[in-house]
Amino acid sequence: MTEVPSAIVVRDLRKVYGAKAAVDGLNLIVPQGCFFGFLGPNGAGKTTTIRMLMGLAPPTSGTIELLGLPMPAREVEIKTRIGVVPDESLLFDHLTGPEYVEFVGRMYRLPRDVARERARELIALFELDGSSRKLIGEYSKGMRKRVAMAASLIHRPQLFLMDEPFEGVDAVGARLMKDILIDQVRQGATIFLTSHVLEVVERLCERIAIIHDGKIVTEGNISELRSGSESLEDIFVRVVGADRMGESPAWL
Amino acid sequence: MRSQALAILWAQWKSIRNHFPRAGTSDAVSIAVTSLWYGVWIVAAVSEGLICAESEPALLSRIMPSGLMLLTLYWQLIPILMVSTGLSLDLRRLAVYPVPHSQLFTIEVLLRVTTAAEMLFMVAGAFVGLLFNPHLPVWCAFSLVIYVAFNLFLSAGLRDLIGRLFARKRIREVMVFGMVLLAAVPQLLLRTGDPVTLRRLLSAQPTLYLPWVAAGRLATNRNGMLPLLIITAWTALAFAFGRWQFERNLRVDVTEIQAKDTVQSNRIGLLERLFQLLPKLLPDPLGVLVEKEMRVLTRSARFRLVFLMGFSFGLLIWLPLAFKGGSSASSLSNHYLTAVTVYSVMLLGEVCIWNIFGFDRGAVQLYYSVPVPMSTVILAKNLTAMFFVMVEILLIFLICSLMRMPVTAASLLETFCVAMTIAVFLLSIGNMMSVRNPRAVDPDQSWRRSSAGRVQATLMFIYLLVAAPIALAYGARYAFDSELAFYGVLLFDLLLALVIYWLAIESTVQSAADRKEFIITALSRGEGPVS
Repeated sequence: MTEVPSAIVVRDLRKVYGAKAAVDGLNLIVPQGCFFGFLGPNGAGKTTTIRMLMGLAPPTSGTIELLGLPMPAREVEIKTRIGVVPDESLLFDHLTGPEYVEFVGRMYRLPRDVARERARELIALFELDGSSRKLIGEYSKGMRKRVAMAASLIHRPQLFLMDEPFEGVDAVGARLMKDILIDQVRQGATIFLTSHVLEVVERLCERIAIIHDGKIVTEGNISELRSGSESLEDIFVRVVGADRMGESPAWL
Repeated sequence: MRSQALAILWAQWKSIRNHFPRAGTSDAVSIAVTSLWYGVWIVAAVSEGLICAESEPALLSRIMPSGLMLLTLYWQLIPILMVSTGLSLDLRRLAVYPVPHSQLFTIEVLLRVTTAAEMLFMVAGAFVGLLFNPHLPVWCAFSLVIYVAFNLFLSAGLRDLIGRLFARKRIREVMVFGMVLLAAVPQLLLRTGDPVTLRRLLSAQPTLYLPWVAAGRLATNRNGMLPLLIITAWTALAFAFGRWQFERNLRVDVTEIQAKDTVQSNRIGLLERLFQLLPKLLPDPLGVLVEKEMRVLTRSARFRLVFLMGFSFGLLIWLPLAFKGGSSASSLSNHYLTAVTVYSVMLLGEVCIWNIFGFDRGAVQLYYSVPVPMSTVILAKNLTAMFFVMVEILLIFLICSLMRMPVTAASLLETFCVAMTIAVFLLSIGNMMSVRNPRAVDPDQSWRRSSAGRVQATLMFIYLLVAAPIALAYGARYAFDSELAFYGVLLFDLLLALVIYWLAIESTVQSAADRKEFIITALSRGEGPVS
């Protein structure tokens, strides 16, 4: 049996901010063609990890390999082959949706006419063509996520890194985005996403990892992690130790 | 230039084009002032071109090094003095794309033109002049191109270096302390040192090894090929410096720096107590709003830089002018405290007067959703601005006293009255501008992104307007030789300023209500790849 090559290999990854380790000795392997969910409570280190994978923040120590290439030594080559849905603040608010998607295409060295044509098609696919003259700054949160995801697809990447792609997206939009992502995985792409929407992760991801206080507290196939009729929410609450509710103040 | 660089420039062009149809009248005023400012420089450049075209090489070789030195000083120093570094790539947003660093560096260097576009006009004037000078070979003019490259690389490196140093709390304070010490040097030399030696040092023959001298000699075909070697070596050094600093900036993690600063600041309780002092005297919600303003401003890298530079650089630039001798200088030295204070109020204006909601971004929605009148919010912001102006005056007074400058209680009173009157006038205009043309400002971005020249021009226009009633007070003192006349007119000015402020507040509150949606949208918007 041939072993599936890894899309992401992270060894002993650490990121220290001041006196606090946001990511503390993270080890992670994501096989190619996998839909991987990276979960954790607020402040657990999810965004810091994904920022390091995207090359936006240098690790304090440890190594990262994406698609078999070391980061940051072969940063440009890696970035050519990955698609990112970063924090929405990284969008350009004074561009319209089609202009932004075309810009991203050209940043991935697509010829101008190809980038423009693909941008038009992606905008239509993500049902943003009704607002094509609207500036991104005037978009709703869900529309911003949709345009960011449309842009991440323009160069047909092999690996997607997505930070909270479903945050603020309505049910129709989320369904559309999920269908597109499932199709990408079927075609062999790998998806690594962080999300707080556990139902979406439960339905989409084959494997998950839960990070808490900068450390992976559990990792594996969802079916393996379940004990009895537990939902992903139950697993999550159990492993991060949030099942013990504190006492409310008397006035509340 | 490669395709990605062109894509960045295309996106920037689109961002500007998309922004302008939505811009307000204040942008039109800004464009008019900018055109006037650059128009003056174009006239100067044409005159310079005529001089370069008609002068003998011997004369040109004498004046050219000084001219080029002034050019470098303007290009490198003015952006620092104005805390304004022109346009720059937003590396935070571009870092996710597969763009080689060399390409980003090329664009960044080209954007350095925006720190001092005036100097580019001057170089262009000299270039055309030298090209048409019948006594000089054509290649002489092209030596200026090397000198421009030297300045661009140096400017890129300095911007990155200073920006990074100012992002770190302790280093920033040490740098400001160093600047204050530097400000004291001329005073110290003039008071205690040997002025003859100093004069001899300043009037010594300029050495060929200085970049402006080498470039000047090369441009006038003097000293053979040696100047070419020297200026090429300087340019190579500047390139290496710029590239090194750019790479270091690419690797900087702002969140990491902020986290370190937070750890350090947690140990300081003195500032916290200071923040609670003024709000304690005020009833809530005014008190809590002032407290919030103080906390937000003092935690903003942009505000801290401007506040620190207000008194440190203020002292630095006005000191040599005040003590160089002559009647105008002696008049300036009499009003030294006032001059430095007005400069610092001018700098503070950008962070707490002209765009009062700039740092609030998303938080501005809170002002519209809590049961607090907008007039209270604006008043809180204005009181905070006044508080910092007062702290700035006291700091300048303290430093001047320590440096044994001629400052007295009378000059402190005069400074205080003038600064307060100017501040009230500025707040009246600032409040109205803040709701008509609100812009989101990144509080962690130490340097202003607009061009130093444009900022100077806009401020100059507003200051001329505001300075008129103050000039009347000084005129009354001169005409009647009476302090009573001075303070009488100043009191009238202050009353006038308060009436205007009161009227402006009403108009501002009305605009804030009418333009609610526009203000919230404008403040939540970011910028293009170049900002």
